[in-house]
Amino acid sequence: MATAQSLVSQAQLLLLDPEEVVWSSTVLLGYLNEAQRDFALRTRGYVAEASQAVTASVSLYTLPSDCLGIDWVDTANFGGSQLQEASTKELDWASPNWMASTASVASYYVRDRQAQKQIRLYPIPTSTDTLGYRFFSRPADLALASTSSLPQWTHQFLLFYLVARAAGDEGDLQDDTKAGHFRERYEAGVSLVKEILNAR
Amino acid sequence: MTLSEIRTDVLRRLGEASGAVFYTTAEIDFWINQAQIDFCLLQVANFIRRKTTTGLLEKTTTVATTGGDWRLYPYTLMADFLWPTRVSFGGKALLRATQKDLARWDQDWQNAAGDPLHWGILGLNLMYIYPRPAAPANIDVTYAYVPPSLSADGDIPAIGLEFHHLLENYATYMALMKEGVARSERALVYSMEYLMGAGTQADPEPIPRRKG
Repeated sequence: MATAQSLVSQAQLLLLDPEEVVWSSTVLLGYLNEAQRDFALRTRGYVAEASQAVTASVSLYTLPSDCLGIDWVDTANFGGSQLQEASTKELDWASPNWMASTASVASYYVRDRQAQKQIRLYPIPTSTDTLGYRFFSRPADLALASTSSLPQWTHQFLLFYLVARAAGDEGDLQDDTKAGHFRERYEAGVSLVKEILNAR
Repeated sequence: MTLSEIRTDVLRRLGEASGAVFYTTAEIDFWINQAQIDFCLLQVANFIRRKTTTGLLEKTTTVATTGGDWRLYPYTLMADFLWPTRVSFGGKALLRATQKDLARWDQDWQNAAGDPLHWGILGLNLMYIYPRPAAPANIDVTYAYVPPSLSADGDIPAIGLEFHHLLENYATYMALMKEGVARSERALVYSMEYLMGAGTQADPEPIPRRKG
C-alpha cells in the first residue's frame, strides 16, 4: 500500500519539483488530504459503523464526527431493525405534539435542523438503549508516514487530484494544461467509481 | 514480457533508449504498476457495463463468517480485493440485492438466519449476506483482484500477454505528462492508444449465437 509520502514524492516528480523548491511535502500533503475528503464525499465509498448509548428520556443524539451521510440507524431495543427516517413536516402532520411523545422504544429518527450533526429520536425512548449507525465516513487526515484507508486502487485518483491542484497554483511552475489534464483524470476516476458503486 | 522489457520499451519511446536520465527507473516502474491497476479497474467497468470478462483477473477465496454475522469486510479478508463478481454458498450462486431490497422484503433482515440467498456491497468496503448463516459458515467470494506489484526485473505482469503493450502506453503517457504543456499532445496519443486497447480491444463485439 502506498504511503502518503510515496504519493507526495510521485507528485513532486510529475510537478518537476523533486527537490521541493516550489511545493513542500507539507503543502502537497494538504492537497492529498483534500483529495481524500473530496473523493470520500463525492463517491460515498467509505462505510463505517458506530454505536452510542441512548439515555432514557433524551431525544437528541450527536452523529459521529466523521459522518458524511447516514445510511442506516437502528437500536438494540428495536430488535436491530432499521429506524425509519421521517421529516419534521411529516411528523407535524401526523402527530403535532410529536416532540414530546414518549414510548419505551424509538422507531423513527429525524435529522435535526438546529444542528446538522444531530438526530432526534421519535418517540422519545423512556428506556436506555444502544443506537447503531452505519454511515459514509470521511477518512482521517493522513500524516506523511501513514497510508490511506481508502482501497489501494483508488490511490492514483488521489494523486491526480493532488497534481491538478498543485499544477494550477500561481508561480513559476504553473502549468494549466497539466492541471486541467489531471483534473479530468480525477473526475473520470470519481465517475467510474460512482458507476461501479451504483451498478446493480 | 518482463518488467525490464516493458521499462526498456517505455524508455525508448521517451527518447532514453540508453538508460533513464531525465526519468528515473523508479518512476517508470511506478507508472507500469499503476497501469496494471488502472487496466484491472477498467476491466471491472467493462464487466459491469457489458458483462465482458476478456481482460478480467479473478480469483476465488473461501471466507469464514464469524458467529453467523451478515457482514463481510472484503479488504480485511482479501488484501488484493478490487470488486466482487460472484458470491456462492455451498456451491450455489447468491443473487445480488441492495440493502433497500432487503429492507423492503424483511425489515429485520440483519437478524434473519438461514442459508444465504443474497449478497450485496455497500460503499467500497462492506459486503453483506442475507440471510446470515445461523452458525459460522464458509462463503466463496469470487472477485476481481489487484495484481501484485512488479519489482524485480524478471517479474511478469499478471494480466494477459496480449495486454502488456498497454502497460507501456500508459506508463509512457504518464511519464510524458510530467512535462505538461510541452509534450501533452504526444502524451495524449499514448493515452488514447491505452484507452482504446483497455476498453475496445478488451471488449470485442459479442459473437452472435447460432440458432438451432
